[in-house]
Amino acid sequence: MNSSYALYTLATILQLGLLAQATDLMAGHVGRIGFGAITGSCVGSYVYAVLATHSQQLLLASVLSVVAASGVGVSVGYVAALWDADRYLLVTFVVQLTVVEVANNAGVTGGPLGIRDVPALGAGPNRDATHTTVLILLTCAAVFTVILEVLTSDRWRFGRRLHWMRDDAPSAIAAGINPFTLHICVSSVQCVIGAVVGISIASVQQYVGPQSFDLWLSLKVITVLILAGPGCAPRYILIAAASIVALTEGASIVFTDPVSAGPIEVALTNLVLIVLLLRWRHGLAGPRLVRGGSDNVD
Amino acid sequence: MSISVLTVENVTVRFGSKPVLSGVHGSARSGEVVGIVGANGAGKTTLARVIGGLLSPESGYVSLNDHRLSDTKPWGNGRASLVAWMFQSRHIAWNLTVRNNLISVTDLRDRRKRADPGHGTSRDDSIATLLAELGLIREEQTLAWRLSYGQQRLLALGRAILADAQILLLDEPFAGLSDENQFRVLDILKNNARQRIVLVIEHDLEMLRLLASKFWRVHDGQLTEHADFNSLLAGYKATGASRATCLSSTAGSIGTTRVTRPVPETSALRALRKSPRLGLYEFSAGYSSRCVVDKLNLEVFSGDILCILGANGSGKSTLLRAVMGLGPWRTGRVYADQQCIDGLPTDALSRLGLRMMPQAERVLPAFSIRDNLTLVNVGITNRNALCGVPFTGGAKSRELVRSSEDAFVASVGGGRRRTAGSLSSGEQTRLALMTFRFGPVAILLLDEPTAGLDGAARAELAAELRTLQRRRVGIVIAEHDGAFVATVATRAAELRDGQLHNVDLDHIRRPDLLQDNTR
Repeated sequence: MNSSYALYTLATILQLGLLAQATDLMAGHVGRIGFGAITGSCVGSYVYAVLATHSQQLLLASVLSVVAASGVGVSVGYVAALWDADRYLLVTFVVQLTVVEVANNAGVTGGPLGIRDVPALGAGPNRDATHTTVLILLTCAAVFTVILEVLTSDRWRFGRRLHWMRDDAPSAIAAGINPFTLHICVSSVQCVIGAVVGISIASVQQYVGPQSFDLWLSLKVITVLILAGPGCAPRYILIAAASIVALTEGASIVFTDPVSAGPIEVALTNLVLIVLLLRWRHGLAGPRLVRGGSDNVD
Repeated sequence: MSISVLTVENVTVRFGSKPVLSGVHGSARSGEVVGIVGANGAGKTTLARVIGGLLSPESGYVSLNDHRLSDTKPWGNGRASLVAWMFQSRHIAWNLTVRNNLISVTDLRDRRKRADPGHGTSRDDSIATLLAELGLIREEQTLAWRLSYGQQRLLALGRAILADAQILLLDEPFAGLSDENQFRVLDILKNNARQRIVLVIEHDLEMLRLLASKFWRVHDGQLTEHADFNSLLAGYKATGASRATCLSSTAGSIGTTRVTRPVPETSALRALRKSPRLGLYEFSAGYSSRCVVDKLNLEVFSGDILCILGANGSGKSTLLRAVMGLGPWRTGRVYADQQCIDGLPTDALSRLGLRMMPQAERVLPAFSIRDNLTLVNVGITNRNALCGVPFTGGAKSRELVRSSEDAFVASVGGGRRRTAGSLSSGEQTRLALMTFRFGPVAILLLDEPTAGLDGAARAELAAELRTLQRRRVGIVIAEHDGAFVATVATRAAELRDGQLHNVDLDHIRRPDLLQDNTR
């Protein structure tokens, strides 16, 4: 197997896995499904691409893109605390579409053509950009997985608060848990992870365009999340991301006919996913989450 | 120890144009247990929400000493040490274990007590003690959603007590609890009331008489303070309230109002008894690893009102849910009017006339009162209902719905546009019961129907049951209230160790327990 192909596949797995982990932080552990992580990724990626292209200060560009994404996280978190789950989903969806639309039309983001020749983080005269980015991504994935495992575990105070708020917001608020602090904090972490993924996307592709963050990516992230099981331990999400990528890549290897490959690949992948979810209703590793107690049966 | 004083000053709350509280005043001091009473929909829970800071009053304020509770958010600095809640419905963290539910409260408590070197009891000790008091030691590592309704209520109470706040706000703490657990809760509250202000919203005046040191009666948007129980009863008489209203659940004990006995057996009813409306044979049900109902045999005939008693967690709700095909696994045979209904999905059973009112979530909260009355019967016709089920469809049915809606709206106020979710808990139960008037009902399963009902609503429930009984409906009720069971049931059985044991109705006498406790 071509090593650059393997590295690219690994980068895709890590990117998908991290985005799904970030999405699950709000969806599985706070009970608010939305597109905040992908929006953070989009903002982070564009900010990095613009700054890195113009200033060549890659580290500064990375830091500023993370800061910009966390700003989005604060706003989205405020909305999450203020509004119910349905409106939160709608708001994050609208924000994502708006960001993509702005990028599609604004001159500074390159319009529909996007930004080309984005300098890769960690790349040098003797270093391959993809190789370095994958190394950074691997490190980030390990660090974020450990952080998220701790944050979302019931053995820790923060995890218990998250799950209390997810399961029963009225009693959590009445007991003194500040919903704004909690949602803003979680949403910021979500967008920071998204920004890191966004930087890696820009670095690996050396290009950012509106189609880099289209709805297809959002759906893939949510598919990974559903396959792993919302609310599961973050490490399982990486496994689910690997499964989805392996499934897709496997199908593309089997069906090489350029006319039928696309539809057959998609149909086969979806069929396998449906079978898996019929067998494991709560995802591969997801706990059985009960809402409101009306469903307190096995 | 300083004395805390809670003051409710000129509080007014409106929902739309409807005034719920109109300039109410009240006060309480630490060490006092205040029983908050009033009819369903009188505004008791609204008052509690204002005190708890979950609802801002239109005018007036609530203060604890110098601290304005109504001006600060519940998560404000130091606010959690002032008020702890036990909500009317089961507000717990469903996907945490019992232990983690309690720890999550101590997290907040210990954070604010860190500055106080005087608090010596460790977290584990206080949790272990509380679990023992609540009788939940064996469930310590059980996920909260796996507990029975009563156990979930006990857990909610435990969380409120563990918060160690100056005001303990309890919304119907005795609802849904077995007699044993009611007196367990009574003891716990008495032990925890010494240095706190305890506000208890409750319809069970027997319990309040044993617990409360003073009473707030919410009536017509006003709050009247009563120094003792006799003064409260005198207040009821002065406002012309019926005994049924003032003596809530006490029909069989201290009150004089007894709901009349069910319809006597007639020859027509005897003929129908040849075949049971509902028959369970070798019926077992349970959760993944646990068998809750074990090879049980049960027959319910036309006009029967069978009340199933039993401790919290004995499996009453599981039995009813399993019959309806809701969730737990089940084996054995189920017959309805000699028709085998094994394995039929819940919607099919419902269309046949096997209906259930669950313990919680009894109405469609986002829908109007009329929608609630009509939607539950959509798709149900005489054609697919069980034989012999009288059902009036068409114009006559629509007229019946309209007149019932008018009567209900007039009693609860707020107009036709009011959604079911805006009704009080007791009103929701009344609405849910009304829905059974308009559809074909052959067998009715009711899970804790009296929970949260005031005296008048209980009498209304009993009357509704009598009407259904006349329609030859077989009724199974899972219930804790012995007085109500003794009043309405044609027979009773206790669910114990997975089996039903017949209980003589004359032996269901809660006053005995009261005497034991008050001795």
